[in-house]
Amino acid sequence: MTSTAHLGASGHERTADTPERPRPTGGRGPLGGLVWLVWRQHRLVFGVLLAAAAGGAVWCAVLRGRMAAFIDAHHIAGCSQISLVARCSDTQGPVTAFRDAYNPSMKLAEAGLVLLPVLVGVFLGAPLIARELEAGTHKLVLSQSVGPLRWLAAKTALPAVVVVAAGALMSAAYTWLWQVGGDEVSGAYWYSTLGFNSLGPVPVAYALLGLAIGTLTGLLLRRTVSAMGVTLALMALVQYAFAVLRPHLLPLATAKFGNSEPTQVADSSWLVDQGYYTTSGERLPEVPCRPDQDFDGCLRQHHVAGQYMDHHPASDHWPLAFFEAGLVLALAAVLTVLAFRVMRRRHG
Amino acid sequence: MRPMTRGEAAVRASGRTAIEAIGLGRRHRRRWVLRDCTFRLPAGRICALVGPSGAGKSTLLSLAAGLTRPTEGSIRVRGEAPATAQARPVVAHLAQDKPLYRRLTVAETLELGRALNPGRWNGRYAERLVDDGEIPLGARVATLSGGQRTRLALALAFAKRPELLLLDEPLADLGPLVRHRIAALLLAEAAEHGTTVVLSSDLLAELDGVCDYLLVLRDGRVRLAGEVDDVIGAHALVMGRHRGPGLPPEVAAHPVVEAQLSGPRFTALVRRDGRVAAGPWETAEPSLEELLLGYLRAPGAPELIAPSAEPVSAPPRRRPGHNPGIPGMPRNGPPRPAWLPGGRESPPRGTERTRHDHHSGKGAAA
Repeated sequence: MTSTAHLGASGHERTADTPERPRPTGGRGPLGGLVWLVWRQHRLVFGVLLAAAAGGAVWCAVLRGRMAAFIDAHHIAGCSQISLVARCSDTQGPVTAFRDAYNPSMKLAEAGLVLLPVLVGVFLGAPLIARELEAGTHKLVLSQSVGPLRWLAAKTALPAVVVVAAGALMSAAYTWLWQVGGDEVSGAYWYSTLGFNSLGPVPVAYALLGLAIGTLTGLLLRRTVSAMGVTLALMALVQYAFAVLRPHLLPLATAKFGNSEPTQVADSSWLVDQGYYTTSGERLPEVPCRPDQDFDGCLRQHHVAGQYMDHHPASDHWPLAFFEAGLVLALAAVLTVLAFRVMRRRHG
Repeated sequence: MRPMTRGEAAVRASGRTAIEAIGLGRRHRRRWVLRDCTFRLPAGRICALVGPSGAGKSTLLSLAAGLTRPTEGSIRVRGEAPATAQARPVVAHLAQDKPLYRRLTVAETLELGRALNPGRWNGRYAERLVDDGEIPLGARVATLSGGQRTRLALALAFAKRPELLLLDEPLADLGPLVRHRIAALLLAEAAEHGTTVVLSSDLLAELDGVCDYLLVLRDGRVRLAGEVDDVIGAHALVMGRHRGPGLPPEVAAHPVVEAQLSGPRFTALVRRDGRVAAGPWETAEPSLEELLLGYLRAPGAPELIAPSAEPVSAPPRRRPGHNPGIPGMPRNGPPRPAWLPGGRESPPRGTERTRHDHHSGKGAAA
């Protein structure tokens, strides 16, 4: 025992009071050190995420090339299966063939982009803090010289950077693919729930929201598995809520058609609501008229002047997408601020 | 066994306060885990934090480390609130479960220490401690034995060069040989740098000779605090024969901490109120272990905060001067009327009950 004591003491003599200078290779401040630690802890998830994004992007690029070649070869750009556009006459066969060949791939890509935020929330966000609290390792980190807020900053910032990088890469690749094969020709319209959630800034914003929800629930629940479950449920709830709210985020365009006019908006328009309007301008979503019994007379009896269609034209896509992404990001920011407040209240 | 350097370190660090708690309390849900904790730990001491499990030892250490916040009252570390940028770098805390990242290697764990303690980290010292324990640097933490893990966790705590080292049961779950070596390591470290160490433990035997300061918790309250010599000197162990149903009145005249009667013989731990009168009994100075066992077994024992453990920021209650204590003198200043009569008459003090059940399991085994 005394020999150990002596060893310990002599170890000191040699190095006493000379805290090591930071190595040239490791010359980082406290935040740099935390970033190293967070990267080291989560490098597997980060690696999987970035590799999946790179693989997905390459696959989208290859798919885009093949789709573009098919469309050019059959001259079916902008043609849907049943089209009123003159140049699209006699393209039903090729369009159907195109859809049979490429729609499953597009749906797969969309599903991947819609699942990305949920997977990020469940497998990166939820365990981020919960696993530390569960294993007690937060005590290890908080016993070092860095404070809890810095730790949380590094814990959320680095995953956020990785998630944005991976999400932006995948979303950009899919959007690029969608520009040739989307809307009419494949029937993967911008306003479909899967499509809207996969295009442009939307999946990136949702991925950050998933990270924020997972981090906060993990911090509050302190249990990895329950945090994962709650994150999954909350993400589903938020996605559903936005799917319901989405058409009403921006004002709708209304097209009105007289009684004798054909009622039709462009295929690429998102038809949200339609019905009849009366001569006094009142809207009748339903009329109690049956097509088989004097339909026109019945309409006149109810003072129906024509039909209306509330819709978003295709030009509303990007404003809607950026507006929704902004709302989602604001929600993520609020949750992140809450997480910092919880951390500060709990650990000072 | 106390090394000479300890005394020097204590002198060097004397006068400064390592931990000061005033009215400290922490509630977990509806239960108070810690309540009304008031004490002062001067810098440079090795303090034993003793109490049965659930007494609030880990909670007190967490509060001092700034991991949790007090529900009421205050705790200050070197005059600072624990969770501040000033206090963090100079306090190291090793939790009971010795948390380490299981997937990191030993070398990476040391790298963590370097990365998170810029300007304080002594890497060569940490590596030396790890080498000394024959822990391979490339091994994953998950593959290490309990003793190796403790050594690595201690290396992480030591290499930070803390001024206050809070160790929550560092020696539990270790074999006797490893325990011995690590205790020696701890002493050498503290002696060398005048580090203040607070060491919580259930094992009473291992504390004797290691610690010079004592803090006994029970049911979330401080029962005993002060210099070990001070506290021991304030007590007497009286053993002999009794004729009446209880303790002899000359013995019971002193506040009785704990008394055991078996047949005609009695053993009593009393807080000395002057000299214990002569009689058909022997009076001896209790060992640290006897003293601690006495306090741990007797939940109703009056608390004793020695002058050396009184907070300086709290209103003074005591005699002038800071004489560390004369054996045989009451350490608690003027006797408080509140407990004196009770101390003589109430049942747990040994007059009516003939036998004490042992209250707390773990400590008694040591």
